[in-house]
Amino acid sequence: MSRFLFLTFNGLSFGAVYAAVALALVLIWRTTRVLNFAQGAMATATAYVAISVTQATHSYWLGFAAALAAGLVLGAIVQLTAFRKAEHASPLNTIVIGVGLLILIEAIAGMMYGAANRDFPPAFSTKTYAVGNTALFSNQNIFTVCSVLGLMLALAALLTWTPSGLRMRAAAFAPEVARLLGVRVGRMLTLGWALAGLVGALAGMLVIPTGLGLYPQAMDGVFVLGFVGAVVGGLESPVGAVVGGVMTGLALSYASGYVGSDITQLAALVLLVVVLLARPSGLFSKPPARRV
Amino acid sequence: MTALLDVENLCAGYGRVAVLHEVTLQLEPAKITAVLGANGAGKTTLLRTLSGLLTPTAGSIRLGGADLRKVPVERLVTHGVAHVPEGRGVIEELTVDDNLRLGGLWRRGSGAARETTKAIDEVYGIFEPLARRRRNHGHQLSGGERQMLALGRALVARPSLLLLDEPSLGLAPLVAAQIMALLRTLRDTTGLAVLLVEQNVRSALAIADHGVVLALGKVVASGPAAELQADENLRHAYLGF
Repeated sequence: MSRFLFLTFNGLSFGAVYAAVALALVLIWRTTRVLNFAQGAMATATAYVAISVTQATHSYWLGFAAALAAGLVLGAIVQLTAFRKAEHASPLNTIVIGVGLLILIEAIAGMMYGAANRDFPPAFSTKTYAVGNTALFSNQNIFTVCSVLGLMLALAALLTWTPSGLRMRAAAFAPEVARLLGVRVGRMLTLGWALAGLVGALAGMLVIPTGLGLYPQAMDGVFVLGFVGAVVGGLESPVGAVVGGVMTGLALSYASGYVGSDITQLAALVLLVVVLLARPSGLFSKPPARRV
Repeated sequence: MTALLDVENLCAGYGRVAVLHEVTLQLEPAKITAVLGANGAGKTTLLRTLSGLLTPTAGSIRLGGADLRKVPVERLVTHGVAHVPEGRGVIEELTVDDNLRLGGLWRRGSGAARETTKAIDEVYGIFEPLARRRRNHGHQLSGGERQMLALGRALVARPSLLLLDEPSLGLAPLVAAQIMALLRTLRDTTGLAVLLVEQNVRSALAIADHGVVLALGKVVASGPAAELQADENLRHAYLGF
């Protein structure tokens, strides 16, 4: 039982990170039908910004805030420069742009900071609390889950309760109608990309200190698992992204704990196959309409 | 009377396919003008060009003196133009309340939210079924309720000109008649000008002050609705009754 609890807390903590990456992907997918393959590399770039600011100011939290701000700005810049002209292009074009951007960002990071794995300090202690002989969770785990949860609630409030959120939803669901109603659709899409950049940056800042380390390709594996979470959730649904991300985290944690760490990555594939066999469009997608 | 909307020699199309050929028409305030014609005559294309969704290849569109060709689609609503597109354009994923709130989001300034809330309350007063379903999503509404919502959302913007595409499409005759009667009431009480594209020629001419008949993208007849209705040759040749 104690092992189960430990694996659950561990899975929830990593699942929160995968959920954040999945949410970033879904925010972009549902507005522009683009799968941003550079999301992980963008998060890595913001972590480099954080380490630079922290070294310059000797303040961890200034670096943390700088990473989030950089994510916001980088998301907007990427949309305005790389993807805006390709919004109506074929999916293959946007995939090529995304992969190209991924390679470009990682190459620039490598040239500026080197390819070596750097230590990246966590925000809080990683020493785990134990009940009896059972290690459960650390302050960093609590911070990870709470900060992702807080950001998701803030995003939900923004999208649900504010005029800008309503504009963003209208731009996503019916861009032409939104334009007729005075919504600047292009601006809303940029805002969506910026928010996705922010969420991705948070994911990077939470997962890189947990033994991953900082190097140009640090977030590639995390991106793949976040992508699995997004597909499991249905790609269209922010709630689905969160649930899919957490399920991925739990599946990996249980597989690692009960079967062996060698098959951890395989667990993500099994989860993906099982969910897609049961619901080919993902858990939270609407079934496609049938013509009768 | 001075024209509210003045369209001269308007040409537009899709890529190399020209659809509208030198269309000229004028709309007066507080008048309903019906645009009639067979399928493919260019009625919807005319509305889409007037609202800027399609870029004209030639001609001019002036609204109260302003050159609408220079106004981006997103700014059109600030000039008092509302467009209810073909298929109604109700956003199905949003609630009735949110759809209506969208109609007033173009407003800026301190009193904007209050003005929009007031306009929404008025819409709920006009369309009582909507008031009962304000928390429902667009996909949960009937065809008639969706048309009410589309029209209501346009009215929240308090337009001076309403571009309305096929409002009776797919509606029960009774509901379609109610929508048409409402347009007449809005014209008389608010001074709203309406450019109405409608397949149901009889019901359109019954409420319209003027009519414009399009055939293959050209204006083949225009004039007072009663005269168009009385012209037997025109009815047989273009209007099908």
